[in-house]
Amino acid sequence: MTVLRRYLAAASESITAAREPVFDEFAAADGTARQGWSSLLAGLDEFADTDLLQAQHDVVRLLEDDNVTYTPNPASAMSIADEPNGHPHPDMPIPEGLVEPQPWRLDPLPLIIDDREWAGLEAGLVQRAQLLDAIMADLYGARRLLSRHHIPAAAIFDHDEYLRPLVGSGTPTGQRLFLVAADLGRDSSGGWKVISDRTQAPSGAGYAMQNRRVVSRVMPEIYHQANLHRLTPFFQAMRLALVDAAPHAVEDPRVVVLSPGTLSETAFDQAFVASLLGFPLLEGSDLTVRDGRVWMRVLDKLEQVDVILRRVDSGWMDALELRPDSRLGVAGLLACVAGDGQRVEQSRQWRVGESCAYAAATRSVRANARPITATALCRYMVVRRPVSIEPRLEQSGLSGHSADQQGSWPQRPGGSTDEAAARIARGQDQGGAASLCRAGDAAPVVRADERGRSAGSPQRGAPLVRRPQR
Amino acid sequence: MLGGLARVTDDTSDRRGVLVSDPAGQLAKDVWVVGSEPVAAPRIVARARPDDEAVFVPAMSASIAMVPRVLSDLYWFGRYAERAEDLLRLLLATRTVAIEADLEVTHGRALDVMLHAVTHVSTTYPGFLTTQAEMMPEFRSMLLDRHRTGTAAHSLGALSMAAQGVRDQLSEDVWMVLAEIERALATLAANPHDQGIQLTDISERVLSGLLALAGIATENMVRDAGWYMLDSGRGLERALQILALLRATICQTRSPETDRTVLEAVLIAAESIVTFRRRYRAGSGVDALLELLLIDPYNPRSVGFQLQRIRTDLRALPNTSPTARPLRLLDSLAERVRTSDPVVLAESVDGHRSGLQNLLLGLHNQLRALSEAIRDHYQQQPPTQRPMFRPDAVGGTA
Repeated sequence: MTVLRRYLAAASESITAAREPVFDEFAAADGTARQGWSSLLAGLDEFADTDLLQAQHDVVRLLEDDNVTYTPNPASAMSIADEPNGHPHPDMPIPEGLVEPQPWRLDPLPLIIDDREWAGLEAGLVQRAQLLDAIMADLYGARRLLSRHHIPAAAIFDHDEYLRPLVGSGTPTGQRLFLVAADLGRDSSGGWKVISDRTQAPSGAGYAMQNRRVVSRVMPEIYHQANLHRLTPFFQAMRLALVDAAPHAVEDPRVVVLSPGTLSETAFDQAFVASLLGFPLLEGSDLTVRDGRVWMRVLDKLEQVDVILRRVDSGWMDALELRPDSRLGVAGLLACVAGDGQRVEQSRQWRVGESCAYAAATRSVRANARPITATALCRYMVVRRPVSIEPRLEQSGLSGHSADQQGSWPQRPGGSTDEAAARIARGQDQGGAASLCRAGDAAPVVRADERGRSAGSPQRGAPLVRRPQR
Repeated sequence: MLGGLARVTDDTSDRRGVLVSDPAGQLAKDVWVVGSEPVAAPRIVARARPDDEAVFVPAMSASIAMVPRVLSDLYWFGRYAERAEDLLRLLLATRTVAIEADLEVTHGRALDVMLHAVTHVSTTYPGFLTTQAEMMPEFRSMLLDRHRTGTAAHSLGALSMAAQGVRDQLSEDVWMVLAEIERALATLAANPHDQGIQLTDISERVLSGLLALAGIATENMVRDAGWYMLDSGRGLERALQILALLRATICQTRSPETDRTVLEAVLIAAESIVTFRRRYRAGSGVDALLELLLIDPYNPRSVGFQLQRIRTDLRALPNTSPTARPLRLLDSLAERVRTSDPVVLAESVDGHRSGLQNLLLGLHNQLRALSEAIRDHYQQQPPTQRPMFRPDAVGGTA
């Protein structure tokens, strides 16, 4: 009997025996593999029995070869428990100096989801993105949500990332969000829950693509055998949408990716996405504002920039209007955007963020890209340990980690996820909403580097670049 | 996106609960969305632009997106790659001398000269200038100590950092090579009881990685402004390294046996020993060495060659008038090198070649000035943004 078969049998028993409802990502209650997994079961079975250890070594090597790193940010390790008021925990050490980039860790076995299930999820996420976009439009436009007391005004006006300079500068298309991401988890019945929304400058698409590349190389047979939806259309769509965001009068729009620098938390993701899209990766100091337009400092001249895919958090993007201590952004950027009817805004408290891309040119500017396909809107999901398969795989020795928690299966995420989702849905618990943001922030794939550092930290606002000296 | 990024943890004792855990303990998973039928690739259609007829825009006419920061990163990519390579060559040459040193007394003195040269060239003071410095630990530190300025490890770290900043410009092969170098160094780091055999072995592996890097730069990179900047950085660093090596070794005369060993070691470190043996008769001395390493415009390891190379690179960059400051500095440097007479320079008085010493120092300073001129001319960064109000809100480093 193979490892996976043994696992299925054991899972079936334990699911039946459990007092509370349990969801297993891999095994259904009757001891069969779930839809999606089942067609690949034979291949996975063989793979898990023979090649898994080798695959794990290969994954490490391939990730090293591409220098895939993630720079941990201590603030991102904070959780709901640490941060009841949305303030950093006093005991949380803020390190002096710079944190070394850590290697990206990847498990060779993928998480498989049937596309029929995904279709429902996708529809929900698209709808959610549309809702967030509508909320954004209202908060920076007519503000009917405030005047009708759907949202307490203080929650918005007191929020330091509500960008007043942009209030009232409408966009022709009315669309503000370019890229939306959602962190998802499952409850104990297997229903998907959104844990947090990512509207600021979502990261992770590059990591997802890199994961796919590596996994397809270590298990090529199964990869080809699977009727797998590819990731490349997403990047094609994103590229087109970015070009499309430029003013129509511009013939060959210049699109750039604005990064906080090589020491930011997800520097790899930013650089990799830039190279996948084929747009130059720039930092704030590479851009400048003249005559109400954004320019790129090229060798001997300035060159106009039409669209910026922003990976710097909005609060840091303009030292003139927003955080004066920020050196990550471009001074005067906001005025350009507002003057042109561009939108760069967000309200983090409500997890209503802003578009990543906005045209930065003058004249008749169409602000944000309209997503071209549904796949371009529903970005990606971050499933943060909702999956009960992991610890169990360990138990069966599958994942190669030590199995010291034999027999003690972890709590299902059901309770807390439900509660969190409910609070988001009700939208009534301000403290809860704020701390939930934090909870989401703990996902390392999601945050830009600098938010959440305490005031006076030497790193704050400094460019996240180390220049060679000598 | 039809797929996503999943994260799982294997730490079940996490007090933070199931939703959140330390990123360091997490493991990413690929998310596969699979269907029961073969999946057709979705068609992605751009919204039609008015008068959009998919005109072919020749890339040659489009200006190249080269911001000064990128040029600076590529320049330093070239400089650090060359610096690491030259230091490794010097370490290997010195190690060869050390192996011979146990047999003969004269070699002992030559070894001292070379060890001091290692410290002077790499500027890892005090290094071997203190009497108690031991060779193996110091060499080990040269390879492994990232936080010590001037070590090979430091240069490699800076190289990697510079590469990270221009990831979108570089061939993906670069990362493969850098990873191989990292692996080699990790092997050495994992063996603290190494007596030198592994150190030599690892140095050679790292060196071959750096050679691969040079090959990638030559064979895989488009000749645009960035490449010319990278190449000029490499040439300038090599010239500086040769000058530093010559200054630290042959500006003084010692016993003939010692001088002979030092001469050979210098030629090995400068990767010109084969040419030297082939071209000059046995027993040739410092004058021949100076011709080969300083003046010869055809030896890719000589200072003269580097000056020509930098000149070609800079001329290829846009915005370079024939009277631009870097070119003028380069002209005067090249003139000085071309007109120097190796026989006169090789003459010594009281064991000192003061004429040579002055020349090398002068060239060194001129090269430094050239590097600054290149920075000012091509890599001028905007002044650092700083707020005009609320200075107290700014961190200590601002």
